[in-house]
Formats: sequence, structure tokens, C-alpha cells
Amino acid sequence: MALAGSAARRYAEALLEIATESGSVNVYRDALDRLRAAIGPDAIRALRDRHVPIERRRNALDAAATDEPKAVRAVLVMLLERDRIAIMPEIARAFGDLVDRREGIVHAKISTPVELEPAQRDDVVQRLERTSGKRIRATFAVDPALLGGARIQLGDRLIDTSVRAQLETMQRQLAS
Amino acid sequence: MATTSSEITDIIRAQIERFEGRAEPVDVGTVVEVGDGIARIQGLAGCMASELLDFGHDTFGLAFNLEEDTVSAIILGEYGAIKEGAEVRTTGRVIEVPVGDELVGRVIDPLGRPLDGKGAIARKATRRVDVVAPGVITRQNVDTPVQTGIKSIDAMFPIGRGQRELIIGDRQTGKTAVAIDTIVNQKGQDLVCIYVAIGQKESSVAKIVATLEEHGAMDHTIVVIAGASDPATLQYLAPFAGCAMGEHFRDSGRDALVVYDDLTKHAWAYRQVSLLVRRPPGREAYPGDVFYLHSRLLERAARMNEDHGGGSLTALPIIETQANDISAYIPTNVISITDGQLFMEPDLFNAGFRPAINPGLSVSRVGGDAQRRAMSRVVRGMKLQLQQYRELAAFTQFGAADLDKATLGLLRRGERISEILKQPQYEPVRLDHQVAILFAANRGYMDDVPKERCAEFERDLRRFMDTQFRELGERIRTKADWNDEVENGLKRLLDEFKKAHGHAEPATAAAVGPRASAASAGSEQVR
Repeated sequence: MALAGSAARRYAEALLEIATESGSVNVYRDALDRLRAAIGPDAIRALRDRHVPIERRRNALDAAATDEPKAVRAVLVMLLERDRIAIMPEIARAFGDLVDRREGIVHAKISTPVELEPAQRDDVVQRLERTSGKRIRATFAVDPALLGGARIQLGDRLIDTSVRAQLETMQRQLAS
Repeated sequence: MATTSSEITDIIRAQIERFEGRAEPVDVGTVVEVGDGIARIQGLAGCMASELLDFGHDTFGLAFNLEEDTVSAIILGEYGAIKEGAEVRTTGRVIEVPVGDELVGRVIDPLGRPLDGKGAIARKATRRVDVVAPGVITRQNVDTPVQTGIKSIDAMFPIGRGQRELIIGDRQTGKTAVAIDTIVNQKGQDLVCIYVAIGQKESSVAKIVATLEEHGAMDHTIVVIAGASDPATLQYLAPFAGCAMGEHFRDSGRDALVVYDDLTKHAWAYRQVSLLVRRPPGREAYPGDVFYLHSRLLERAARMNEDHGGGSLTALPIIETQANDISAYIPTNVISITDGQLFMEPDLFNAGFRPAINPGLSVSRVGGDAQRRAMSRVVRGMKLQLQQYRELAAFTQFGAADLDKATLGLLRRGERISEILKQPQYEPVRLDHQVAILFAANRGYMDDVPKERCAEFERDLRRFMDTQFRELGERIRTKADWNDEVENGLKRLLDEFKKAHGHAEPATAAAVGPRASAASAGSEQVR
């Protein structure tokens, strides 16, 4: 999956380096994910409200993130002072993407016209892992419009073996 | 009907049986932003530069900018159906246009879709729109002329097959007219013409097409239109598409001529597209590679050597200047790329010298190599005479009371030469006629003809030649060389013509007789 905006990625890269040095990448990841869930659009609007003195906003943010690692809290304060707190969710996403990429994990979205049995799901994931040589984190979806077959999106690659896609190809070939 | 419905069924059945539902993995991305013919796409990690992208609904785009997280694509055609969040796929192909003889006589858009309502065009072959120009090894010297049928060009600024000759000038100075006349003159010959209209009013293009049709010139012409109302992306593509169509003829050993009308608007379109995809602006806000844009286009005009088919592609780019400023950015760029330019001047145009080619600023760097021997011998020294005349004429404008005989003679000669270089639109002149009339003017046979009767003299001479001296005309047209036989033939033609027709003004006929000048001109140098 493509990464988010480049500013967010710079912060995420810096955080990842710090996290790697202290060997606590997963702690950081969980912390960032928690913060992403906590800091919604309303919270961001409140944190960017210039009518409220910066100290009060900083204290509020500190209180909310008191359990998180020091570096994450430092980033939060930095973002607040630079009025870039709005990219916080993107930093969390970029961090997750960077970690996944480093560990060779790829997201796969597998759509089928009917619900797959758990055994079938495992089979699909295993096959994908074997052909792509990467670890797969899969999400499954049901789309009856596919008619048959499966549509697998592996990162940016799309392998569409659904009956619908084949019919569309045939239509194009017959029309030309 | 030739094909019955059962036959159609059979064809479809065969196609279905041959169908293989193979799923090639493709790259996908999502549209995050769309507008002004540009789409910004997230994803597409494996996208190639200039790759064709499929937006669905038969809409395609061209990957233009590959950035860190996104790809900026220019959309070819309508982009109304593309929404934010839509899926985009790579195709693994680079943009191509249909090429071949099926296109000749048609009016099409830059993607090869017909615009003339004459039905679908069979796609027999396609070519890539943007390719690298042929290298040195495959090329040959330019040595065969493109007969434009315009006396002043064929005489003073010969254009060779494979040459790139710029037509430059202000608006309304007859730039397009020169190109159209050249196309009209190719009627019944072997040169395929491609007229690419970039950013022009559709009404002007319709008029040009109608003119070409009227003169029977559409039979050897392809018209590619990206009009003023078409998106800038299509205007940007149009000359490359036209060039690809010309290259097909060049590489199959035939000769083609492509007119880009005009590259100023093409540079504008490219500037617009570049700024929209946020490429950094440079001088006059054009992107830094606007020179490369035109040089790589014009470099594809070439004369191939025998080992590579011996075909050629001649380019006639047109540039519109503002207030005669040929030192602006785009004009200087294109002047330095091309092998010469025809500079069209409004002052000359308004003074009635049409085509209004300025002989001082115009040049053809391929020159005499691409001129027929007869023509180059006949017009030797003419450009110089004409320039001297222009200088003198300006000098003597306010009273020419006491001028010596030589000066008067020069003025008289120059006046006649300027007069016969005037030429009405859509009336191309055949090579043998050109040679005869230029011979007459340059060797002084017309010195006793009043200025007002020069056109009449020319008309009568052409008619006389066609009736009485048929073989001479044939000889000049078909054989490339020049010898005493031809020269004497021309002299005899003019002597007899002057005996038969009285164009001379009685008073001066004796003073500056043709014979006297002809005798002095007999030794080639005219002065």
C-alpha cells in the first residue's frame, strides 16, 4: 500500500529509528495506534484552537498521553507547537506501513463472490505467501458481483481472476 | 449484405473459443484528485513513465509524473466520468496511434479517432507516439527537393525531403497559406502530407479542410486536429501523433511531409500541463524541458539512407511571433532546432508582396543540395540582386532624378524580380514554368515589361510554353541536369515568345532592350 503524505512519513521514519534503537517497535506501534484511535477530528479541532493558550493545550495532551513512550510524547508536543497535530493519524499509519514493509508483510484484500471456509482462506493465504515470498496479512470480502473466481489485491498488484473481469475482457476483445 | 448474421455468429463463436481468460497481474491505484485533465493517483507502485493507464469506461491516461507517493497522469479525452476514489490500472503499454494508408484523406483527432463523419477507420497498424529519432547511421544527406510550387521558396529557399524548415511570422502574414499551398502542390505526386492543427479554432480548421478538398489535396493528406476546445493534453500529444503517422511512411521507404500548425500553441499546452502537474516553471513559466520537447519532435524528421528504405519525413513547423519578435523564447528555440526559416513579414504582406517572405532573414540551411540543377542555375545571384534592389529602393524612394544607368538597371531588374515572386494563394507553379519565368526575370528578358504587366507576361509565357515548347518543359521536369541545350532552349523560348507577344512598353523597349541584357547575362553572372 502506498504510504501517506511525505511529512508524516518523515516523522514516522524518525520514530522508527528511535524505536529500533530501544528495541521496542511494537510498543511504539501500539502506542501510536491507540493515539490514532483517541485523536479524532474533534480532538484535533480542539487542540488547534488558538483561543486556548498553548500551555493548557499542551497540558491536556500530556495528561492524555501520560502512559506512552517518551519519544511519542515528544513528537506530540512538537506537532502541537508547529500546528501540525492534524497529521498525527497519518504518522501512525505511516509507522505501521514502515514496520510492515521492513518485516516483509503485505496486505492482501481477497474478494470472492461467496464466503470462504476458514480452511479455504488459509489455503489462499498460504498459496499467496508461497508465490509472493512475503508474509500476508489478509482481509476477506464478499462481492457477489464478481460471479465467480477471486479478485486478489496484493499491495498495489491486482490479480483479477473473477468471471466478471474475464467477461469484461471478452467484451473488449469482441468490440475491437 | 456480404456478411450474414450467421457468419457474424460464427466469427464471434470462434473468438469466444479462442478466448483465454488469463489474468495478468496489474498495478492498481486510486484517484485522489482529478481536474483540468490531470489525475493524481495514489498507488501504482510499478507504473512506468509514459505508461498508458486505464481509468475504466474507455478512458485512458498517460503517466506523466512519477512522484514519491503518487503518479500524476494526463487524461486523454473526456474526464467527466472519473471520480475521486476510482480505481486505475496499468496496461503495460505505451501510447500508440493508428498509422497507414487508411488514414489518408481523413480528418482525425490525436488518438486516431475519425472526426469527419466518414465512418470508422480500420486499425491495421499502430505506432508509438513518442519514440527516439533515427540515429546518424541510418540517415542520409538531404538531396531531393520538396516542390512547394511557390516561386520564391523553390527559387531562394529550397526545401529538401527530410529537412525541417520553420515558417515564422506574426498572425495574418500567410504562414498557414504557405503550408497549404505546399500541400496543394503535391497533388498527384508521391509525397503524403500530414497537417496537424494545434489549438486552432475549429472553424479555421474546417475552412482549411474545405480548401484542401476543393483543390483535390485531401487525397494525399491526413489532417490531425486538437482544436482550441480540446483539452491541453490532446494538444500536447497532437504533433507527436502526426509525426508517428509520418514516420510510418518514412520507414516504409516513402516520402511524407508534416506541418505543425503551430508550435507556439503546442508550447502553451505543454506549459499548462506541466504547471498542472506541478513541474517547476522556468523562463516565461515554460518548464525547463520545453526545448527538448520541440527538439525531439523535429529531430524525427529525417531522410533515411538506402539501407533503411530511403524514405523521408519533412517537417514544416509554424511559429507565431508577437509583434515581429523573433528573439522571444520559443521562436529562438525552434529557429535553432530547424534547418532554416521562412520569415513572414507583415509590412511586406500589407505592401502586397505575397507570400510575404523576407529574403534577408529567411534561410534554408540545406540550400542548393536540395534544389533541382536547372533551378539552382537559373536563380544564381537572384537573392543578392533582390537584396540590393530592396536597399536601393528604400534609398531612392524620395526622388530618383539623377541616377546612373547601372543603378536604374538594377532597380528595374529588382522590380521585375519582386513582381514575379508575387503569387496568388492556391496557385502553385510547376517546376518548368518556374524555371522559365525566373530565367526571364533574372536574365533581363522582362526589363522592358512594365511592372503592371508582369503577371500577364508570366501567364502568357506559361501558356506559350505549354503549347509551343512542350518538350522543353518535359525535359526540365523529368531530367535533373542542366546543360547548354536547356539554356539555349529557354533562350529560344523567350525570344520567340517576345516576338509573338507585345508586353513591352514602347518607349523603353529600345533603351533597355532585352537583347542587350541577355547578351551580358549570357556569361551567367547577371550583373
